[in-house]
Amino acid sequence: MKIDCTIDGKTLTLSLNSDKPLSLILRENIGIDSINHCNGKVCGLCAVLLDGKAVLSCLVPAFELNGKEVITFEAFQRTRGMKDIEKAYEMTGATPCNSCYASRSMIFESLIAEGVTDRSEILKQLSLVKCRCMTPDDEVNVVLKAIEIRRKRNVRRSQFA
Amino acid sequence: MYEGLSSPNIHTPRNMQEYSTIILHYPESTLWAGGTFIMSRPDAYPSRKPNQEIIYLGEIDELHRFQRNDRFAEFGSMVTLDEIISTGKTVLPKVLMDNIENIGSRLITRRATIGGAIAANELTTSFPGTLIVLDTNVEIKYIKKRRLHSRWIQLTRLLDRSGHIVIPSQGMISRVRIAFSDKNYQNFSSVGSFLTDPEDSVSIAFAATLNQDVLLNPTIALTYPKMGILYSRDIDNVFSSLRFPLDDEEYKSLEMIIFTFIDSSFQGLSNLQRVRTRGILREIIDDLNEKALTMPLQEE
Amino acid sequence: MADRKNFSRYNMRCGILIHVPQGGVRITRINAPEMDSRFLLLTGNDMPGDDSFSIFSSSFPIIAKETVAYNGQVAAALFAPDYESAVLMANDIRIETEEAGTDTEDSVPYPLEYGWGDFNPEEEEEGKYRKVESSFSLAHTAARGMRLYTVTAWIEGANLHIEAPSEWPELIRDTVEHVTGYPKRNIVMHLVPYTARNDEFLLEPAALAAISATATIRTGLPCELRTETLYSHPGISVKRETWIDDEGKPASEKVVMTVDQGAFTILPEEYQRQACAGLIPPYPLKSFKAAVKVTTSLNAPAAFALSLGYSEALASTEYHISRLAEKTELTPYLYRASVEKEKRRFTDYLPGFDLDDQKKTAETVASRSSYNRKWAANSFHKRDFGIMGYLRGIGFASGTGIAGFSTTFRKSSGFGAMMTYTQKHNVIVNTSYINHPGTVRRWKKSIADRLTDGMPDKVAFSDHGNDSMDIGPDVLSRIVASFSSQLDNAAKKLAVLKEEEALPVSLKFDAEDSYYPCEFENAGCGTVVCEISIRQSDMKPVATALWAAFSFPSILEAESLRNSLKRTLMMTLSEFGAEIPMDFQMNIDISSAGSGGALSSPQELARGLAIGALSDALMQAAGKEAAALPTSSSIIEELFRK
Repeated sequence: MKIDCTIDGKTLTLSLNSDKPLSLILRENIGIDSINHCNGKVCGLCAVLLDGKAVLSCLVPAFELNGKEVITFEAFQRTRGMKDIEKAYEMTGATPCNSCYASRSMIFESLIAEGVTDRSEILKQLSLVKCRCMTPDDEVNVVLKAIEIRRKRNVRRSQFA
Repeated sequence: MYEGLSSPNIHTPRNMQEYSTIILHYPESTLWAGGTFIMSRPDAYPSRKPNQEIIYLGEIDELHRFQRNDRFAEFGSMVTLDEIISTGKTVLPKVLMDNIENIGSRLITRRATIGGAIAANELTTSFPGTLIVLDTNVEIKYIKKRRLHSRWIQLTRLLDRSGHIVIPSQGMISRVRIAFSDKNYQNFSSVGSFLTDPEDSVSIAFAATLNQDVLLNPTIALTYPKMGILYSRDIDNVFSSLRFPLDDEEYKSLEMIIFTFIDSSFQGLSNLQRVRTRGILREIIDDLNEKALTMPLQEE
Repeated sequence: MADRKNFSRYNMRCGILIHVPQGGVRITRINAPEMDSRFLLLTGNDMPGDDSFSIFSSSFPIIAKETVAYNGQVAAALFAPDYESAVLMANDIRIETEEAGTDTEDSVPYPLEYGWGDFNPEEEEEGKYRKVESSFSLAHTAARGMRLYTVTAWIEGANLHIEAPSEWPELIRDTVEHVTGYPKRNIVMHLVPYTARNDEFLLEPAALAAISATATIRTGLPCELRTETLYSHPGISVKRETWIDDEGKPASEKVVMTVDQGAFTILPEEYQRQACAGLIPPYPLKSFKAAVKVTTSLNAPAAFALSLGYSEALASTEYHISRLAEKTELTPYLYRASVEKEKRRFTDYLPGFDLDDQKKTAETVASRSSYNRKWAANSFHKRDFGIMGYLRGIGFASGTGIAGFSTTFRKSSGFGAMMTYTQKHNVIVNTSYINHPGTVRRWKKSIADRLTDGMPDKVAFSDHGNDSMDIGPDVLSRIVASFSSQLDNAAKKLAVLKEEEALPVSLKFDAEDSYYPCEFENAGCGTVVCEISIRQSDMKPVATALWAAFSFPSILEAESLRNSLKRTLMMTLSEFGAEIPMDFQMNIDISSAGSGGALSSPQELARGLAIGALSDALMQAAGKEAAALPTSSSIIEELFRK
């Protein structure tokens, strides 16, 4: 079936199997290898932003993409949002490994954008990522630090505006 | 594309009228709610099933509605678990809230729908068991004499003898009505992951009114993902006959009775599931013992 | 590294592997449906050159030709226009097999034996010495993980390009040349960033690259092969007996370690040496005997898993020390303090060195974790509440790290280099093993500072050795460290020579300036305390907290070292079955001894100590059978049911 959607800012018309998972579309049709596909093991390594909200791309079928906007880590890493997260990684001294860097950063972004500061809420959302390269404390610290960085940036921007 | 690969036809009805037209044309269609169950099956894709028709229910406005009065909350079947939490946190029963919280990340609850959670072929969540404990009613839309009919039915009546929720053929859950519970003791416990470790997981939902040392209207449902839901009035009655606190002997005999029920319903429970069931039951009884001993008199 | 070619994904072939689940069988027939020209099925017989890849002296088949040597061995690779077609077509391929007699692997080396002293406590006065026995085991694990990765091959002009995640790009080039006959100079590598938690990108990408390259040559199209990462860990069993005197001081010890490396052995002799170094205990002994046996089985080949045997052997030693402590009713920390001397004994495997730093790390960790108090409380409670009533344990492990490969191995592999200052005032370094862009960049800069007025562009590295190994597993860090100083020395000398002699002028040098008197050099030490509890409702071992302190001779980047140690500790706990809960606490302290000695393999040390502390904690929580790793709810439940 023909699917019209926007992936990483590019408007695309894709001819796809209607039930193909988004994770496989991104890997196979778009060529984004940082997205994993684990065949139902719920590894948490395929998070993308679908209309601005983090979702596991392996749970999203192609037909649901019509008219939607997908942002993957490939595009997100060049944004200011990612700069905030990178800064938080640097300041807290905790960085995810290469294996989960993309997915974890996307989930961090959705938590930061929503301003979630509750420890258990942060950890619950991140519990999907099975990679054990960060301690729970590190995960919470990164989110809190990034929220602080973003708030400061927003304040500066509004002062100059 | 390989010849053997089939791309299912997707139908996207915008209202119930369109839905009924489609389902009349394609009675064997697969109903697609949030898709978390279908998509999380191993080897879900690619599939070689020929002539597959999928009806995606996400565009039907009616199924996204939520309303409440002073007795119950009513959700369209496409309301997501995340929406249930945000809309009904203060009014909905604790056992339900705990269950949704237990499912985990919002990345899952944002997509999983209440209708999908009840109607999925396999128990991928512990949700149906909890809804049974809450005496939930569901509205079923079904085809009869080439017309779409609807009927409200108690969820327990959809539970077959093997412990599975069975929707009448060509039927669809359109609304779910959850009564506000005034039961003062509600407990939801789950061990293991229903999605990734179904062989060894177990969940128990329990609700009752603890009146000094007795339980009024207790209901308990035990869910084993690969087996089914164990719900029986007889087990509920066992709980009503108890006086708290239970001593060790009484607890042991209660445990034995419950396991007799479990063994008569499900064969092949794993040892770990038995240990886990025992662990959760012990926690519930310990909790009830403590509450019975510390409950102030005026609550009588 | 060149940039990846931007070819159309619609004009390539997508491949998947077809495995035979059961080893020890013979393939009698591969039944495949009729395929058109868009499909390509590669079996062992279709490989153009030799269907094998070699790691030093070991070699094993890339695709099983006739005999399936181990469970899950690759029997074929299928390439199709897209992955859907490949998966559906692969479902229709049936591999018929029949039982085959198990061949004995002739490459298994003799057991390595090492020891000293001939004191025999059994001949002494009766009752003066008592025997303490322990057994420590890690099950052989070979499982496909959740992470997908791809290896892509394509031809552009005269060059064959390979894109893959790899810890050992040179092995890929060697293997591709060996299998396809494509000259190595025309094979261009493109590295994909990766994290090799268990050295999973060390060997397998080379096999995948050879298959993809063969498919590319056959089809003339770019070919991508996709699979899930293979985590393979050897099975370890260590049986140890120690005779202790009436004060609890060890007098004599015997230890036998058996290693199941799977169907094919990988660097078995080096594995034995590394393991032997880990088996030698830190306390003084009148006599000691160690034997390391390598065996084969129908399991997938396994050797490197963040360590080449040292971590596992060290963990077994640490586990045993805690068992000795139990006999004396002292906490393992206090017991160590009572039996360890100031200095460790010199052996052929490790030099004699002060244990000061190690004792300091132990002190830090023990006091931060209130180790003695918790250990005693757990022991008392367990005695009072019985086995099911109290399921908590706190484990202790403290040891030294070693640096890299053994001296014997490095002498035989002989890495060398030549630095030339040309007439055009450029510098060319010919080396046999280094290729990693990050390291090379740093070296170029340091050479440029000495020879080319700070212009790194004038420094070129070329490699043309057969034994090339580069970014590789953690055990290689010593070579990188020593080679860095050798390069610097050579640049210094060349800076003088270029002024005095006619250009071009060259200098030859070895990767290391001197060899150690022992097989390994001690480099860094640490202590780990791990607290676990077994959740009664589901029998799951939950790691509640971990305290660690490390001391290294020198620290290059403190933050990345801390991160890497944290990761290793967490991943090791989780790999061996401990759940990491939301309220898990980790306290880690890293200090530099400032001695500037050889770089150790920090991850290897951290892994060994984490395994040791976890098994010790499990032992306290649930008894000795629970200490066999990896553990799980089912194992613990079964244990209690018994």
